[in-house]
Amino acid sequence: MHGWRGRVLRINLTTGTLKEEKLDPKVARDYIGGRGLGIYYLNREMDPLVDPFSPENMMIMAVGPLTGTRAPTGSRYMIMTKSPLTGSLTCSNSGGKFPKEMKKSGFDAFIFTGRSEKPVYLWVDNGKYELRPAGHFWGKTVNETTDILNGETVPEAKVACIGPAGERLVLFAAVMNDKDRAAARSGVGAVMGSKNLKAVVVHGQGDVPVYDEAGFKELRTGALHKFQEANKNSPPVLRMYGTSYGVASNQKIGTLPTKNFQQGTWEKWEKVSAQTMVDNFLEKPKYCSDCPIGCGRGTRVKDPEFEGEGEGPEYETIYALGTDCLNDNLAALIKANYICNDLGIDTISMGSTIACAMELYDRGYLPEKDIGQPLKWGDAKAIVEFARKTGYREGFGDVLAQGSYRMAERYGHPELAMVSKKQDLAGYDPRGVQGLGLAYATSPIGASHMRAQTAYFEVFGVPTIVDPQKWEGKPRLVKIHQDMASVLDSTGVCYFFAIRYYVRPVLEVTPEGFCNFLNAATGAGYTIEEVEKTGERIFNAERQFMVKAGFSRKDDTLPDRLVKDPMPEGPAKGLVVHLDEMLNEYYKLRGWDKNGIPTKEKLKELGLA
Amino acid sequence: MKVHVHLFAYLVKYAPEGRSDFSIELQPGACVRDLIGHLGIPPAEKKIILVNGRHSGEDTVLNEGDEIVFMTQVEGG
Repeated sequence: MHGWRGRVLRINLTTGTLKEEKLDPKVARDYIGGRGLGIYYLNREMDPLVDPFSPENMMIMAVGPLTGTRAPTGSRYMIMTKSPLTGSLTCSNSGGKFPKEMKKSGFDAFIFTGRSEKPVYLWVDNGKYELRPAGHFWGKTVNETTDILNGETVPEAKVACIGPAGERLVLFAAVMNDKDRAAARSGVGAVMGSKNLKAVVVHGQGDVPVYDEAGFKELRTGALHKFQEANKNSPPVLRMYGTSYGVASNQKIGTLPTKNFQQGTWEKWEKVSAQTMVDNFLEKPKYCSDCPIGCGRGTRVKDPEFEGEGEGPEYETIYALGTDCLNDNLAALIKANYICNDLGIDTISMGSTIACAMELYDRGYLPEKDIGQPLKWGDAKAIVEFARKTGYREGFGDVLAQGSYRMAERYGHPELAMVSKKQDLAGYDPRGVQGLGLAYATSPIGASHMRAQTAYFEVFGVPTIVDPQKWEGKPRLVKIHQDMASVLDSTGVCYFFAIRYYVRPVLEVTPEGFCNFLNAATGAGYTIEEVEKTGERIFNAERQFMVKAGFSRKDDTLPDRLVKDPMPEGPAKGLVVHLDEMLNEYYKLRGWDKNGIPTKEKLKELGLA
Repeated sequence: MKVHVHLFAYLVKYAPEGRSDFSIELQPGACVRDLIGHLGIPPAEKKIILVNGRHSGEDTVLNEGDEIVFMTQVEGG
């Protein structure tokens, strides 16, 4: 096989046995790889009703056929499992250098089942594989663990691991790779911790074979040329500022989540803006494998109180640990970000959970004696301290580690957790970005802005602006983008490049580029229609898992605040999310019944019945 | 009439005195296109236009005290 390695590795952590298995070419073709391959195995081999921390939960790391082929931004992988935070499936995505190395090591997927009696790590080196003891560094941070493992294997190996947070089953613990990149959402790190799996280390040599070398090279050169052309007058804004540009974009249209989504604008927004970050903390841009953009932020904080260095913050981190908590201290915010990276914690859920605690405290529902100290809005030192305490489940950190929903429920006010399916919303208030509201509510993994990043056309004007305040017309666009994102997450390339160069840059995002690159890499001979259908298949296969796990329309929700309380101020004043209207239209377009369940006809059409 | 303008990212180079946000005097009844011409932003430069926080086109007529924001096309994750 080309593009694909044609092999998956099965790791039974209970028995300690490893077995490699051929990847069925028909499965590869029908599900592409990455996210698609993950849901294929999850649906086929696990019971969606199992406890996420039980040995019966499967965890799959999967790369795509374009990962590691030198396709521009072919640097991504997915982790798929049942989430302890949401109870739904999750697909958590990360970039950096690990995914390409995993592909080079010889496999399309690692499939973990069971639970190891003692801490172990998986070492895969050029097609050879073994489980090794990890007890002697269980408890170490992500940075320490990565250095130890490079010492125990080879310096060129790439490491994905959990920190203390995953070991302690923090419900939003991340799996970190290359120290600072995160498969962050939904507690995938906690699942790894529950299996006593500390790390996965990979190393490979030689290029990933592609089917049509000349054709592939031409496509690659063409895409990179288009990118250079588009940026010939000024460097890419993403390289200059990173994603933190989102602070200004949201502030100016009144959708910047502020004070646990109580407001949509903040008069102190410039204290945590992209410009402030660049002027005071940026050292250099950082690049994933084969990426020309360089959106990563290599930063450093010199202030002795919050001293540190590493990668980040991303926009989502600035919203969650900054504007959402009324924290205007960017140095402290970046320090909290470094702590989350080193302990292995999702910054979005961390910040949103602290913001929720601040509101519970503010309203007198959460007593000070439970926290051990005051927790006022904007307390920068407390944010840094509680990020650390959450990672170690110390003191009130043990409550925060349950996530915003379970904490708010414990104190009698679950409606104050800004979540969908118990996972925290991202940095766009959907009252002013209606399409994203529908995307949050219907994302298979709980609230996520990346399972259809409609902010591209609702906020950032890519390819063109569509009025974010209007809900009409959004169900159709959300469906199209969700299906496209399912393809994207299965091929192993990055959204930031794909949205302009792997799809035709129109609102209907025709997957022309995906088709061309996939065919040159694999020889599979896809048509555009087949690729589109594959995206729809993957999304519906995920919905099948969710239905078996007990999910339906009753779970496709948004917090009451966003559906019932009109935005109180700013350019989006007076708006609520028109979720019911959008859901009705969306289910029809999807071929699902009024309860959000795929019909037999739809499943048959997609080969899923 | 006086309007407030905010230029982001590399559009700052079109700011009259180099400051990214500033006030400017325009003829009454001026529209966004007139402002773009006044600042010297080339028509081909891709930009997002906000008038008082709402996405607008170049034909939008401006009023006293309006806030006009020019942003580059970007993305966020």
